[in-house]
Amino acid sequence: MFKRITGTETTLIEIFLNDVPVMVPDDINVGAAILLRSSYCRKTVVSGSPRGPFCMMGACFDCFVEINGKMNQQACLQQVEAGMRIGFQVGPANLSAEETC
Amino acid sequence: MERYPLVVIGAGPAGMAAASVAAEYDLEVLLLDDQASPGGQIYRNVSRASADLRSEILGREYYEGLTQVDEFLRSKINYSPASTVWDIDTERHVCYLRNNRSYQVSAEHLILACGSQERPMPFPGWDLPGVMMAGAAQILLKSQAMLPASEPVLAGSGPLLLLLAAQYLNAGLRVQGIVDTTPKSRYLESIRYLPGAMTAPRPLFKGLSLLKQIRNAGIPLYRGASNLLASGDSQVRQLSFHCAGKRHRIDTQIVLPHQGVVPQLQLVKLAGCELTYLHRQQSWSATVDKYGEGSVENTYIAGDGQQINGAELAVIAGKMSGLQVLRKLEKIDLSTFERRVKPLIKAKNKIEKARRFIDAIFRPSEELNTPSDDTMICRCEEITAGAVREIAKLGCQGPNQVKAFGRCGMGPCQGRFCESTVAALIAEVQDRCISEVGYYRVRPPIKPITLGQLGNAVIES
Amino acid sequence: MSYEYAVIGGGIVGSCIAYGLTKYSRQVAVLDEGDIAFRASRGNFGLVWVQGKGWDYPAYADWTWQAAAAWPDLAAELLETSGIDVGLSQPGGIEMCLEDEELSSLEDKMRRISEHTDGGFHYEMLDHSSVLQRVPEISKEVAGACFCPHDGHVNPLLLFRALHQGMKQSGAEYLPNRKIEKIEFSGEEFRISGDFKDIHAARIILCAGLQNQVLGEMVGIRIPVIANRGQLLITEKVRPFLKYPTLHVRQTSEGGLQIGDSSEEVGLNDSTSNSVLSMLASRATRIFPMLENVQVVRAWAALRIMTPDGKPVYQESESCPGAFAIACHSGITLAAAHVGPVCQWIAKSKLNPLISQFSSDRFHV
Repeated sequence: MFKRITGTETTLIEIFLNDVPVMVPDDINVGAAILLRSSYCRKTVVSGSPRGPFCMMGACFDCFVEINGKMNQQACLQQVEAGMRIGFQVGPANLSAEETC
Repeated sequence: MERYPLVVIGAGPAGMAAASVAAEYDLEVLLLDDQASPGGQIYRNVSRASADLRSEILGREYYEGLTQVDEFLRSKINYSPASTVWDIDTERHVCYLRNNRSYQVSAEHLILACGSQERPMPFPGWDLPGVMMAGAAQILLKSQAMLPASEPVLAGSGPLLLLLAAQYLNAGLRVQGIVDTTPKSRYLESIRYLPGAMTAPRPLFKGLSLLKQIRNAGIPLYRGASNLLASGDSQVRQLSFHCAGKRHRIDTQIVLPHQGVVPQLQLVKLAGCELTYLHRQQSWSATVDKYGEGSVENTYIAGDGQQINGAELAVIAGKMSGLQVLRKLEKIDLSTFERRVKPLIKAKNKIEKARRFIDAIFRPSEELNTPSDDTMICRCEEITAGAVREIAKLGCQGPNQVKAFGRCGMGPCQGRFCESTVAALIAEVQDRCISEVGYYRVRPPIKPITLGQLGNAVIES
Repeated sequence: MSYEYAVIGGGIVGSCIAYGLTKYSRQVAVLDEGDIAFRASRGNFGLVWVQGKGWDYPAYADWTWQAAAAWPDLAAELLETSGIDVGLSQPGGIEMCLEDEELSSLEDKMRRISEHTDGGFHYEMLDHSSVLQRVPEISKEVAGACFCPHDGHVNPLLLFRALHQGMKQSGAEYLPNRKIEKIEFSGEEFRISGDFKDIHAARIILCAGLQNQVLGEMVGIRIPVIANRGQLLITEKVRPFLKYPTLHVRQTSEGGLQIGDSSEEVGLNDSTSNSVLSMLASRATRIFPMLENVQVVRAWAALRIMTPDGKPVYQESESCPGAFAIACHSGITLAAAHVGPVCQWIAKSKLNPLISQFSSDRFHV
């Protein structure tokens, strides 16, 4: 949905988006990293409809994603780190599954 | 529990100014901010953004923030970035999360400089991926150097839309159009504030020059638009709207709505401070005295929390609160206080007077306050305007009972994006004034905290 | 404005009574405060809970048990009148104990209840491994539990709304923003006044929670109540895993986990305190370690209406006949008793003998 301004100096790092390795600039937040690839980041817990980052300032909570195994992290408030695993959430968290893995 | 004579929350223009002035007189200040670097939303990332981005794309006003940020970073302040405040009580105990741990500090004086957020702008389809607040898109530009990957449509009202369209032009990106929902009647209503606006005319001239830049670039401006509808399956594909007697349809992947900003009052409410409804700005704001002190003693609200007045006045308000704290703590004497406060008050009055024009012309349209029944107004719990109207018909007197009856406002955003709409809908159904309908009581934590973190919270009873 | 019945208070208890009374009269009014008030009804835990109640007061055990047994009929009736499913589920409930001493004292209480309810009341004490069979998610720390098949839970806010919708549909009139300053009895009717046009009623029923003490004195009913603060947490929604409601943690029909059971006497203060919230969170994760990373969305406090012995009060005034007062902290569990037998008693159509056991005279001997 978004792209980096051409010519922006940047170092790329590898993160995993839904288990797929992708290269992203090292100085952006997780919400921005998602928006480089997708307009959506989760399906809601109430109706299962798709949502994407919306306010980018931590107020709307629409950018909830799973980061390194932790559910419901506000993507727009966390910087990317090399090796970070980001997962799109579908519906509510499954606690029993989380325990087994 | 650690104690500080002054805790400031927020590192935007107001918070930085308050902390800097206090540090000038060696007051021990803790400043908590949830962002990784200072500047707030207005100067977000200004210390890190590249020089090209700052000067050529974002413009002079943004660049000016750098001076303040530099001064702030040089001051002797205990600055704690990436620190999310999740609770405050009426005795000024502040709980915050940093690096996944919860801490609690006690503040003798507390300055809340939590700024503003974009005013919710509900219309059918605003929940679709690809629809994002225009301010959010601007944050992406400032802090991440990112542009829409395809030509967006801007919709709503307020100076930010023009500014963003111009900044995109500077960066070589055209917007497909600006769908301006400012009702035509606003122009007439605002004329009487025009002389006032001329006392501090910079914003006015700035607006006119942006408009000229946009016109020259040939970007369509749809004035007096209404009945917005974003459609698409899993992603927005089209924005349609009424304008000049007909339905327009623009195919687009990105819609950026905006209709001004409103104070962020979660912490103000938690701190027990009273609010006043400001009809002029169609929003609640903290009830404060001349120096920003709220209804709870030693708790101050600086910047947009007082009322939306922009960065320049936020700095003044921050300084005034900081100086008042210094005076109360006897770090400065009365004459120093008066000497420093006097010019600030003068500047404040001038800017406030000029602000009336912007308030009048960009007062949100009635339609967007009380949207059609099928519009989702609570994005978290997915509650429609129609459902809220049904509940209001039962006689619920305010947002809190409506929330209890219908879950609206119960999600993680705690009503940040539905509060004003719910109140407007109750007022509409019951034919009452919005100011007597009231607002949500806020519940901690205002930012999610895990049960594990809460259970291990550093608490001193 | 003149009514046959004026119900003072639009919370769960008041709306149960108003809803129930519409079966006897077409002239029922509910006087309520505005949006901001001490509303226990907006803050409660939603349990329909029998176990542990009335071990020291047999009538209360029977009363609670009967109310819980009548709940399915009430839920069905509300669905029909209001169209709202209040989400009643009575699969039995569990009180978990982390310490052995807690467990043995609980067992003692349950035995006493069972002894004086002649066979109708059932319970089962569970050791750690038996708890594990019913709730596999518990930690090693759980010493044991009590399972009671009569227990359950409901969505208390949907109940609240269903009652309001139901009473409106049945013809009761809802009058908000009526903060009462004075109630006078003329010998025939009551005149209710305040910052609004006087309201006249042949009978009044005080369901005003903590206000009942002040209002009761105006009509000759002494009803000592104090505020008891309870604090609660609700988490983000997670997939359903907890089949049984427990005294400390229950999973709502929407998926959120509600965590509670604290009790403090701090007067009319309904704000939260972090020490108690922290205690609640830590107890929940001690019972269910898998909840460690689950996020809290909201915490709140509400004030229970506590009588000196913790049991309900149902009292008609002797000096002002036609004035009734109700005080209790278990408005959800007792909802069916209030809609049914209590309204029958007020309307003088039928008397459940247990009601006389809850007179406020018991505090003034």
